[in-house]
Amino acid sequence: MTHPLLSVDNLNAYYGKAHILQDVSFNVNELERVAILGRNGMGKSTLLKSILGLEKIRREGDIQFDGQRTTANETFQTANLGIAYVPQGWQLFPSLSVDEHLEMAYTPSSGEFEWTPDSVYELFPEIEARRKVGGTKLSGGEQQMLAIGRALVRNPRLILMDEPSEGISTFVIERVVEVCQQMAERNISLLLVEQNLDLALRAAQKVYILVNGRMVYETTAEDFKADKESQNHYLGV
Amino acid sequence: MLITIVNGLTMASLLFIIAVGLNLSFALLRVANLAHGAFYLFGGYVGLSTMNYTDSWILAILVGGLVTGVLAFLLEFFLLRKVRGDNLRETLVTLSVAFILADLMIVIWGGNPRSIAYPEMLQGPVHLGGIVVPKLSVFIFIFAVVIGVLLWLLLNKTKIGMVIRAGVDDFEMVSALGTNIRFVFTAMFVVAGFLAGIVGVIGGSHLMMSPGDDWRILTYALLIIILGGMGSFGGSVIAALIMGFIYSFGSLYFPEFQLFLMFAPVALVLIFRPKGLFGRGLA
Repeated sequence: MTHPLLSVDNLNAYYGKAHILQDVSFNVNELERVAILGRNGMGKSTLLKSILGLEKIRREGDIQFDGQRTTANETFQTANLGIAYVPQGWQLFPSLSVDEHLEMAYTPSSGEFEWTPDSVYELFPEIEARRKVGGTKLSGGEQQMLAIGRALVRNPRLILMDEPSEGISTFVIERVVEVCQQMAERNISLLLVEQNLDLALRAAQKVYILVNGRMVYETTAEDFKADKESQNHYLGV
Repeated sequence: MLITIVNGLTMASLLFIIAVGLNLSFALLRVANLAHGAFYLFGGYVGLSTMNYTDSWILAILVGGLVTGVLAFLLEFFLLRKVRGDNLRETLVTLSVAFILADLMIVIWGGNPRSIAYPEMLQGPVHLGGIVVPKLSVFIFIFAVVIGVLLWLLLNKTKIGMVIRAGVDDFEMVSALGTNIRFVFTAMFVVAGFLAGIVGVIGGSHLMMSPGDDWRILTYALLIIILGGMGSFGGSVIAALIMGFIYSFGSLYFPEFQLFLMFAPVALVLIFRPKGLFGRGLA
């Protein structure tokens, strides 16, 4: 492994004239689980959207996935390199049933482990019982499961996950943490952005802190867990 | 009375095919294609010329549809893509194309009303359980049902259909799932143009064609979309039926109020159900 799976180098991102991300650099290595922590409005969601080239975000700087520059790509091209996205608020399709979400997103893989709609139902039996129901008619927790399942059946190499703790019960949070922890066994890397310190520290191995659009701190989840002073300093917890 | 119902159904059939194409491309691309009526008339005129050269009605329908489909492709690929996301400009581009086409059609085909000859096989009446119905009306109705069923199957039973429905909901998320949504946009726009073109030929056989029909048909199609709801397939069916019947009964019993009668339900829907009878509205 000569290069990281995802490398973001001096990324600047703008919404219109607002300069949201400022010289952000970080890496996600193969099979690594990385969390980016930060309070609300620090640019966490913008960071994930910039990686995929979503919305009208203007980007400067370099983003490489598996050694390929992606900044000139269209969103679908970047996604097809092997990046799946679990957005904040899930962004499920009201017109599609649970089944159809998985069927539409399903991308067969020749890899050792293949996620199929059936294996997602095995992982989340709760949504199997609601296969024919419209995606947005599910409960918050079920929608989170479906959004994660939709990302898994893409059989990606990297999953971008935006605030999975939002709008779901502690029980579902536990399920999400479990799934995140098992991702490496399935050859998937994870980039998570979160405000929920507990979830992030258990789901990830490496931690970055984003404050006002700048990466201000980098550490391991283990060290950060013990470092109450930094937690308080950067996140005010 | 019965023949008025038949006329209403025939008009509804034509309007349905025009409106459902416009509705789906509107919902997906978020652009109200104001050149859609011009596409209808253009398809009709192309069909007329094809008929004059080849004397084949089937060929006239196909060529009218295909040429209009190509025109839709040019509009989407070379003009709309340049202004994607800027609603005002997108709409103005389609409006400009509508005006240019309208004048171009007068230059090429003149201003006199024309109509397309159709095969003898479809001329004359047919007896259906005691009612005498023009054969062409039966053909138009069956044609609309076939197109409707095919579109419904495409939308609800295929992966492409899932992508289209999902794209109507949230096209950015669809592209984040690795689908080239721009290609889907173009394809949908071309299909809508193709449908408008073939209905232009069939409508030009059933009705007359003359300058101004483009705006009239566009208005009806937009009324159907507002009434039925943006992006709603079922809404397009119901609204086309309502408009078809108002059109036929209105022109028979209250010709001076026909337009009022067509706009009235739309005004009511806008007041009491702004998303349309079956619409979900924009996310």
